[in-house]
Amino acid sequence: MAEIVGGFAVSHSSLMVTRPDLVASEVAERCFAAYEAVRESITALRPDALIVVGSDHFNTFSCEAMPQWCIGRGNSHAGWADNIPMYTIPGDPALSQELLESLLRQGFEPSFSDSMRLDHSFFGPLHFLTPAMNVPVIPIFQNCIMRPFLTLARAYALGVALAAAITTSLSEKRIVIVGSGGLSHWIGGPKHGRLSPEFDREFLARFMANDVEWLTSQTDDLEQLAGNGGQEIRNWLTVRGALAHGTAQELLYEPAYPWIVGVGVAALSV
Amino acid sequence: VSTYGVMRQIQQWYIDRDVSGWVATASPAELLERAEFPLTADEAAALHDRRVDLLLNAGVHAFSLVQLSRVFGFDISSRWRELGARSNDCPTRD
Repeated sequence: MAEIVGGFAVSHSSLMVTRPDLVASEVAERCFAAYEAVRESITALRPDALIVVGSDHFNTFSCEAMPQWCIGRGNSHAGWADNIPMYTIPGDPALSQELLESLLRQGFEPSFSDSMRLDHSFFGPLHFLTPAMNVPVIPIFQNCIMRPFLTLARAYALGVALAAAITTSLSEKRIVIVGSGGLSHWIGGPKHGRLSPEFDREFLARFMANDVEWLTSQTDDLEQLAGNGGQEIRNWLTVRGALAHGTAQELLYEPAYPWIVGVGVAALSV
Repeated sequence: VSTYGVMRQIQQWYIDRDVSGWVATASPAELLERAEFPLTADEAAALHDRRVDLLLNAGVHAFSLVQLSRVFGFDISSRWRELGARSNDCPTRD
């Protein structure tokens, strides 16, 4: 039986990768120290694979087909070099297939792709967390970009189902799950650059406490409260659902305006 | 309004930006001529003029506007301010 041995939730920003100089040096140091702590933790956990729940920014998906979820099942997954370096990472098609089959049995119907490319939603965090790009990744795209969105409750439930799916795996792999996205940020529109530290601090407190009712209660207000980028908290909720009985620790919160993201980093135990 | 065509075209230019350096200096007619996805003359003009306000109002996703700003080489915060976004809508620093 495979097992989840740890989980993490982190923000992503292509500017964090390519323009560390935009923020004050002490801000950058705090942020990179938190990501480095996660990298060290992942290394210590000796995972055979990472499940990374991320999003997209109209690089891989667009209006002709927008799944609520898409699970990568390829032997490898290439990036887009979308304002970050070009990366490719190995996949784990057998484990992806097991997850897909289990999710279907549990009432989830994700799309799947053997050629899904991954943008900075995935490779932004991986740039810091697995810089050698040598740990196989099962990427799960979750729609956080275009209405209509899956509910926050469903994003949390996906995590619960993923945890159950992993326990039914015939392999004995050690799995680390990572959620990538959020916290608040307004991107592209007239409020481009706005953050909401107030929302972020409230969210982080509720996330650490696993206050499922609050976490899943945000609906149409979410974009008003946390911006269009705030929709990515779904990826945090999936990790929380996968480790619903574990404890969570906030490693960092930093409203990094020049990077256009409220940077949050959290570690979850089994 | 064919927001689908606009978004797909921006996406295509963004993906192919290494070979599409011509875009930033093209005329609306050239944008129309070389577009791989359906565009109207008004949409080509809006793209050419960096009218992110018109494009957003027409349904083009805000993330696509970020791609547009990178392809066309302009700062999107500055552009919104030029177009009259209220200054308190754009606090980009502490």
